[in-house]
Amino acid sequence: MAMSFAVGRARAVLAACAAGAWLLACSGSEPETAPRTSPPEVPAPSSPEPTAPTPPPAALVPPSAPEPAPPSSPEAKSQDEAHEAATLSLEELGARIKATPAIGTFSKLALKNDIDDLVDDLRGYHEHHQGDLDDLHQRYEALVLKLMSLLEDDEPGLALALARSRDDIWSRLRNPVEFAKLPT
Amino acid sequence: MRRNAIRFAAATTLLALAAGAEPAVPADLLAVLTLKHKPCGSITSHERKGEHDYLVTCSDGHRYRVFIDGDRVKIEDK
Repeated sequence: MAMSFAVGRARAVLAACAAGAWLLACSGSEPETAPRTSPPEVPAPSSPEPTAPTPPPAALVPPSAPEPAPPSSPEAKSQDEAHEAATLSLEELGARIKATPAIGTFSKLALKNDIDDLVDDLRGYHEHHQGDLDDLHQRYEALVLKLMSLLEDDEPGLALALARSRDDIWSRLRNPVEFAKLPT
Repeated sequence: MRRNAIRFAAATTLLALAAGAEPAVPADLLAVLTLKHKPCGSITSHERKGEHDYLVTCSDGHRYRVFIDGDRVKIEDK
């Protein structure tokens, strides 16, 4: 009687061990297919849905997501600066060019003379239809290039701002309504 | 003695900053000549004639008088 009880108990233990081994084998194979999905839930039937496995990796990404964020913050900062530089108005550009130490007294005055002459001719074009707009545009572009060449070594940021603003400034200059708003 | 040394250092620093603030006169004169499409090469010598009045000798032999008249920069061939 006791013998049969012992045999029965041994079988039960063996069965429990076998079941444990099977469960371990199952759980060992699970991480390969579904790494972080909860094992007690039935992963195999849910695998047909491709959207189900994707969210968990996405949920796992956040730890790595903050990593790119800090390195990108200086980039974002520089992008902001570049954007700020790109949005400089004509007046701001004029003030910065006037204040920059990168251009000497003679050069600044010579540039101012050229700019004044161009603005006078643009005024003649808008008010009296004198001159050719393409010629004026060419003179404007030549002036911008001269300015950029003077600024690029010592004031690269300002040169960049000028390069990015040149089209906007010209569109203001060629527009009679916008041109009339310019301070004389 | 120590105070004088500090003053000297401060003055030297200010002079260095002032010198580095604006481009040197020859560089400015060459930039103006370039802006006005005047052939020059490089400036070999420049002589100050007045407050904003210089006589410039270029490496290619050209000589110019660069000066401010009213509010305009003027360049005369010499």
